[in-house]
Amino acid sequence: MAPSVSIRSLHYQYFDGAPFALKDLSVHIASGSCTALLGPSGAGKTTLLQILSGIIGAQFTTGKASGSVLIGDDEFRPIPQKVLFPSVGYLMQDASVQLSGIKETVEEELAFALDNMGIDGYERRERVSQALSRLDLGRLANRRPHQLSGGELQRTALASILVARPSLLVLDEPVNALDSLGQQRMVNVLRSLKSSTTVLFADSGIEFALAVADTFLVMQGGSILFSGTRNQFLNSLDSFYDLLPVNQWSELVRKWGKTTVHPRVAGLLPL
Amino acid sequence: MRFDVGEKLSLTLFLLLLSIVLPWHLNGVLFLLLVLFRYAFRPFRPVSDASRRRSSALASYLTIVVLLMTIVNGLLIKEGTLWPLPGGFTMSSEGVTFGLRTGMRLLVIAMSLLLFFGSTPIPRLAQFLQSVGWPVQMVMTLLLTLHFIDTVPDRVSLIFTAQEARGAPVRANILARTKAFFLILSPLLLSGIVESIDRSMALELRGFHGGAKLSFRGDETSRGRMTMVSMLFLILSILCIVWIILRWLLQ
Amino acid sequence: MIQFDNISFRYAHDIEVFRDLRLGIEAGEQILIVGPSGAGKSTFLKLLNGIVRPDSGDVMVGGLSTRKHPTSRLAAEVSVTFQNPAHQIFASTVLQEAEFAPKSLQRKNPRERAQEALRLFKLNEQAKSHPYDLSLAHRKLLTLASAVAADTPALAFDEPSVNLSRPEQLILLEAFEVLKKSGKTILIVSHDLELFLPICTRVLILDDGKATFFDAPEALVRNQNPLRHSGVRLPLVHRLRPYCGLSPIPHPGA
Repeated sequence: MAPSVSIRSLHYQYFDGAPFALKDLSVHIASGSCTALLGPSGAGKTTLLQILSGIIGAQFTTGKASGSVLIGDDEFRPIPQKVLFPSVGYLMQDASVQLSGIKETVEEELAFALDNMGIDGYERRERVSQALSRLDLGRLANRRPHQLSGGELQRTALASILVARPSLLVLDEPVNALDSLGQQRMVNVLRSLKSSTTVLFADSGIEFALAVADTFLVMQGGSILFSGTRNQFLNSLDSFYDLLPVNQWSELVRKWGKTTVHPRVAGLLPL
Repeated sequence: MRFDVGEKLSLTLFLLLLSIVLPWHLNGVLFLLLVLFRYAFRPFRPVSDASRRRSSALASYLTIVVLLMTIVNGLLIKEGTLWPLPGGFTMSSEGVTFGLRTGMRLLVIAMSLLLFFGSTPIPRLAQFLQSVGWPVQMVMTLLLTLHFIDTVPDRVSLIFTAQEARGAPVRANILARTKAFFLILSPLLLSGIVESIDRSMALELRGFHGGAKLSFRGDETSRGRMTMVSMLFLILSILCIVWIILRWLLQ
Repeated sequence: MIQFDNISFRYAHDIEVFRDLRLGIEAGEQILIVGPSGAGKSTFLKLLNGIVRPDSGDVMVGGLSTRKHPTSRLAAEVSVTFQNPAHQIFASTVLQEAEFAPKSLQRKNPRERAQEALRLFKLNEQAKSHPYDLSLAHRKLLTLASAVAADTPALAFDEPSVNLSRPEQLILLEAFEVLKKSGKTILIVSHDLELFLPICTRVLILDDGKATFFDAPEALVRNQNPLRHSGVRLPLVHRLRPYCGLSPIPHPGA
């Protein structure tokens, strides 16, 4: 059910003559996996995520692309030309803009996607209440969206995508406005989606990724510099010094390998 | 007496056209009548505290603007009967009349719009327009625009606060506030436009397209039908348009 | 330099934010303010320059009471920035934006001060650009530079690292180093403890209307209860470091 994603030699320019936002990008994302896309801003993470959602093919008519994108059984040459909602759910970086801006309550906001899909009645109520409880938004159901705090907004934005039950979930910095409690909640949400949904998320930090991702991709300048498992990532931290906030981690990882760690803690950072 | 959205809308249209037809003193009377409506007539009372405060504020600002406009025109225009003032200035009757004519018109237009938008919740309006056959994309655009306008006072306030926090006493007096307001108008609109581009992307990403109908809360099914009242005001509006055209042709 | 004396404050809809809050901040300190969302961290900053005035008690900044002076006067003592750049930026060039504060405060040579602040945040090359032509991360840095250009003895930043990726974070840390050396008092509200714990002198935890902790970061590591109670966690990397014989919080530049 959850699709795998294969990208082959993808190049993308926003318009003729523009610098390449994506350069010869090839990657395979396994079905049902949770992949972290890391890198500094400007590396092309958002472009890649937006291409997968279909919005770039649909809206940027001057864009120049080459290569191919395979999502599940659907192949796109070079990229999807229309929005792939609801099979692909996309969470924007700025949660306040993601919300429609025209709904009076959080509950109505969540139902917006269902209205567009023509889902009503029992199914609609069921899906909305499920999304509300999943993201702990129950007591905010009747709140006005513009009264929500940054963290509440981000949870509402994710809930408004999850109601559509996408099989590929693409998230752009899903935890940047959340404190540690909120991030922990998000970790639980993503863990509950494992295997039923393929998840790809971009982030500028690494703590959240370390808690939840199976595969790590590091991007810079439109290309993928690194692709590997969590342990491979931890062992290569030194190479990402300028790109990711890893300096404290690399010191830790270097020492970790050389000391005998208490078995109770060893499991926290298996190398 | 109940007024539904359609009836209020056609009344507002009639009032707007009436303001062009009437001479300034009758417009003045109409303005006062509308102010009375706002307080006494339930269908026209503001729906929320926020809109109540805003409409009062806007109405007072406009009255001051009109007063200033009249005085300035009176001072600058040198036609008609001239009344001498200290300091070598003169106040002309033509200038005052011109100022009043435009000013009263402005007041009636503003008050009519304030009455309508203040007493009609945005979703009600959108629901009505959708039921009379407006294309969904247009209704959505209108909704986004109205919601944006709704946020303007708050955004202005935030930027004013940010400027005060950097040492500029923008709220010290009305002059400072007005000057600061005009300076931040353009960046405000710019950030609104930038946001709306992202917002329209977000809508599409949640499946919004031409075919989908927007849903609204509440069990009140909006009547898209023409009532007698709406018909009346629409006919009166057409008569106004005819009068305006005739007046212009016969000049 | 900054004194909170028995501050109580509650919002109109009856949500109590602070109850008899009392604390003092010395000149030259760098304070990291943490706490659960909704604990009033942003309100705390707004109390510094009079945007919000306490219901009871007094906030003294640089010897001035926030009750007795307007925000524009208090702005000469403390520059406060907010989370969303869109709520602050209004000029048509980066330089104009940075100049606004020193000009409003009638500092000498406002243009030079603005240019110096832009250089500190590596924005000098974009001085003539329109702020909205900058990336979100650089607009964030611009709001910080605009506050620094005011050259006030104290600076307060609300979530300065949100929307910044690693390269911009490094610029931020370097800038803070410079400000620290010139003796500025800096207050930072942030949930990014990993980034700021190594550079602050004291940590203030605001929880449940009160200051539940106000001491050096090392003391916080020794006793993590106030953090746990407020729902804030010490970053994983800080918790793991002691297992390798490393100090939990590294010194800056490590």
